[in-house]
Amino acid sequence: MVNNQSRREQRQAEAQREKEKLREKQRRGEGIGWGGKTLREQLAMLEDKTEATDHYAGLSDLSMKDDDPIRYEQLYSRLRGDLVTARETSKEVSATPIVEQEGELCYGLFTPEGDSIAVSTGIIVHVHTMSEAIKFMINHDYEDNPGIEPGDIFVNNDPHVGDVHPCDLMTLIPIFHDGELVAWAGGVNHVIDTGAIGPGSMNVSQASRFGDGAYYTARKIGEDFELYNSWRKEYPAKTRTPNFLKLDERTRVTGCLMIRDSVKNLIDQVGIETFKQLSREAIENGRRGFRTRIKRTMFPGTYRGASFVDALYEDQENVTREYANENHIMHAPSELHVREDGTFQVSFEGANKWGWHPYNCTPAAIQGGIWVMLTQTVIPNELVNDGAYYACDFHLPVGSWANTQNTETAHAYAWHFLVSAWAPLWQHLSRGYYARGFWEEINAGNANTSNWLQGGGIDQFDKLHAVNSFESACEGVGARYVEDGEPHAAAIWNPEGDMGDAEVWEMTEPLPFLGRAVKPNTGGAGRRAGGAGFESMRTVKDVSRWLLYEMGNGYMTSDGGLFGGYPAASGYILNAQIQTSRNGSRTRRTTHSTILILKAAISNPKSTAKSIGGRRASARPKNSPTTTCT
Amino acid sequence: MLRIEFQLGMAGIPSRLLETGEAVESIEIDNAMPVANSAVFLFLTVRTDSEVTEDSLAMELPGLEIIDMSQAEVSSHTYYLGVIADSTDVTVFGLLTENRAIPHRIVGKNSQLEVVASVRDWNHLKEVASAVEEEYGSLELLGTTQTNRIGFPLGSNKIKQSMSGKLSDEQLEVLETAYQMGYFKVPQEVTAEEIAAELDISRSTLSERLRRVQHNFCKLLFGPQE
Amino acid sequence: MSTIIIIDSVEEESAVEEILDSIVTAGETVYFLRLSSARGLGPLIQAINPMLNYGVEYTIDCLPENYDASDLAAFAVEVDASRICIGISERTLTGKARIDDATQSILLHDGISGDLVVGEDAIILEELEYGQ
Repeated sequence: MVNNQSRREQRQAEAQREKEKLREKQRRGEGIGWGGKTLREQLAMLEDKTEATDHYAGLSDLSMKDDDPIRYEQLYSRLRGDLVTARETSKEVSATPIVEQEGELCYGLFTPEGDSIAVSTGIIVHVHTMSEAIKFMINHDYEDNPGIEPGDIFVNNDPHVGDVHPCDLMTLIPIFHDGELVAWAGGVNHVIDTGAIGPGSMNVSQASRFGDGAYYTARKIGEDFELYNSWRKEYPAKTRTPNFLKLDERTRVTGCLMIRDSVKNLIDQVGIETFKQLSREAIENGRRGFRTRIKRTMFPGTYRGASFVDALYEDQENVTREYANENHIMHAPSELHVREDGTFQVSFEGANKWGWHPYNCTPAAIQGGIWVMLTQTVIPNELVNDGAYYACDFHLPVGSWANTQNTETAHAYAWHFLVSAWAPLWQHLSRGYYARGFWEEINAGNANTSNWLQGGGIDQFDKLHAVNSFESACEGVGARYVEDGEPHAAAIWNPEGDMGDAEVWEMTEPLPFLGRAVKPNTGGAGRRAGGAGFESMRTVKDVSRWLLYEMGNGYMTSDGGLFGGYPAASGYILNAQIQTSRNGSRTRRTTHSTILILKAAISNPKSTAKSIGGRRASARPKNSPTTTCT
Repeated sequence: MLRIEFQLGMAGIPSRLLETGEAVESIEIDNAMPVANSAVFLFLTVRTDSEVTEDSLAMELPGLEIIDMSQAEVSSHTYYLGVIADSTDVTVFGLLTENRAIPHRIVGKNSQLEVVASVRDWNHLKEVASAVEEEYGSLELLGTTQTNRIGFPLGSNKIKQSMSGKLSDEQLEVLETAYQMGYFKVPQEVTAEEIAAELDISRSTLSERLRRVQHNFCKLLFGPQE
Repeated sequence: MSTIIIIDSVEEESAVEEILDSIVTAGETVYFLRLSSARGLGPLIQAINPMLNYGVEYTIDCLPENYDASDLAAFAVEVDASRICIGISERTLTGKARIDDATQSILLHDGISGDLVVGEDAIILEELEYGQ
């Protein structure tokens, strides 16, 4: 405690000293950027130079890396290592199995302009969503108001600013040195409940963003490394699970502070100029690495494909608006253009319109989303950063589900469309690999992560609670060209997928497991099969006023097979309700009168190569709320 | 060649006139011609906010000899004066000409002297400015523009006198109203419709009168139409 | 050749465009010098993209609030600027480019001399020579 206190005081004193230096610069009319520039100037210059020279920040030479490659690798590995350490350490602070078990957390270190230099493991979709949030703050003159100063803490979960969906809360902390902003530390985790119209982190019954839960649009929530009292009072009141969110926030702040300490130490040791050079070169190196890899592994040309997924709302009881009472099929025509120089453009031209459902995406979501997929294919190493973003180009038609440009659209479960839309991208890459002879790299596509179990109400402790099982982070890996896919081992959105211990889920969810098993023959048939999925059987126990619902694909699979292989099974759900009332008591507090037996099986990856047909598992429409009441 | 505009603290003739206590709004030097014994002929346009007489001005300007004074026909509070003064009363004029800058406009207004002059180039500007600063302590550059011609030195008000009597009262009224309302500004601040409404005449009458004014102007400038 | 462009407001896009279009040639170095009256040139740079659209190398620097002409002269000497350009943001009643205090102090500074050209939207001091 004493140590903690002194460390905190030390940090605050540091922030005060840094602020003094900053004030001095401000008196001279200078900004917080490098060489007295404002952040906005610095970002504009960077974008201009990058665009003009086709090199990040105009860096045509990687002088530091070329002069002393070993030192460069040492320094970069150290940064990356510290980010991973921050994640592994801080995730123990969290109390939700989502973070602590499944690892739905990641960190990034960013340049002052918001480009990621290095990222931790975990949900690295946020390599780029955090970038967008930082750039949003820069472009909206946060430097002037509310100010970006040493010791400040910012939060964001607005998908229109930079996020996939609002349950991914991000914390951003600026890192200063000598009155200059030298970097940002950022962390994101998936929280358990965002205060949406229904319980759980990704509610699906709302038609517009106003049912999505709380949006915090790139907001300053603290200074001098202290959260504002107003913030501490506000956000817990906007969720059904305040204690979990408080611990999640501590998790993120802990990680960000660890990263800040690491950067400060590095600067003390090697000097600020070396750090600046390293951060620039790391991104240019990432950009070149991506280009080189594409050039080496892909055959230039246009790769075309399409995927679909269903979203059924017609005549469902949970539809909140009459105009949302319709069924949707997402259409993702996907084109990948690879040119000889390794340039890489992904186009969703022809994607259908956004809808009154929470599966819409923003560009930040798509760009971030494609990221996490690329890191499982093109750049499966530690060299992931925004360099790859600079090597890619995205075409997302305005007004489509992939780029709504409409602040009324809901985004709570953007992943539903996102993961479905990726299916052809895996296959584009695999076709390229095939053409170039990289057969071992071929993957028919990791599974659509279905189905999800969510809900909430008054739990076994008689408290308001929400649940959101992340078991679905344990799907089958897509069939490979040379062997079958790994069974129940992957989440498309988190390369470290893990279903979590049943016992740990049971500690936070009043849904005891009756069983867990591999679901055989769900990977799609073919010469090589996709990895099998799994199924769980759970029951609801000791609750009152409880709502349960599932979501994911139901009638159709978005995972088509590759090279003639059969598609994977779509997800299936079986809900059963058995009356087991023993005494017929009508007491309102009776919590045992109804038991729901739920069997949720998860969809599986597709197969490669022709073979006998695979059968879909039995399906049930998704989004069907299954309510049990006393 | 550069046309420059600058501002000085009041000194010389205009200030003495302003010191008379009359409600003088501005004084512009229309022309200046040196005569013997460092004296100088000055032709001035004086604007006041009330009627003044030659005697009242002469009484309060002991150093000056008023040769002629006439009242403008159009605006009653504008007077044209011909005076003989000592050249030290118009040092700014001397400073400009001694330094070979061409004075275009010297106006005293609100305790300030506003000067427009032409200089050859940047170095010439510096020379003139330092000569003026030496005399007046400081000057404030207001504006500059590039020009190929020397233009018309002082006495731009000659045109005002020439025009008097050449235009009818109605024409003058139309012209003045249009000018004051910003009709000739780019972009226009009013439409012809609005001016016509102000004058309570039809749009076509307004248009006709404005054309006549323009025609008369051109006749003065270029002579009769061939 | 290198050019200093003094900017006191982000509204001076047309002046900067005029300078980059007709004064500066590709490959030159441009120093955007921001006065404290302009909080940030980010939006201006984003609109103009000097490197992308004009092929010039550039940097952004700023002068302190209470700078005087000698600070500017020192900067010009340091970067060996061959031109100093000032955007025309306002005009006098007679249509002349308005000269503010900052511009006046540069124009009348003893340490800098050369040619003065008044363009459509910018005042350009070129062929600069530096004295004492």
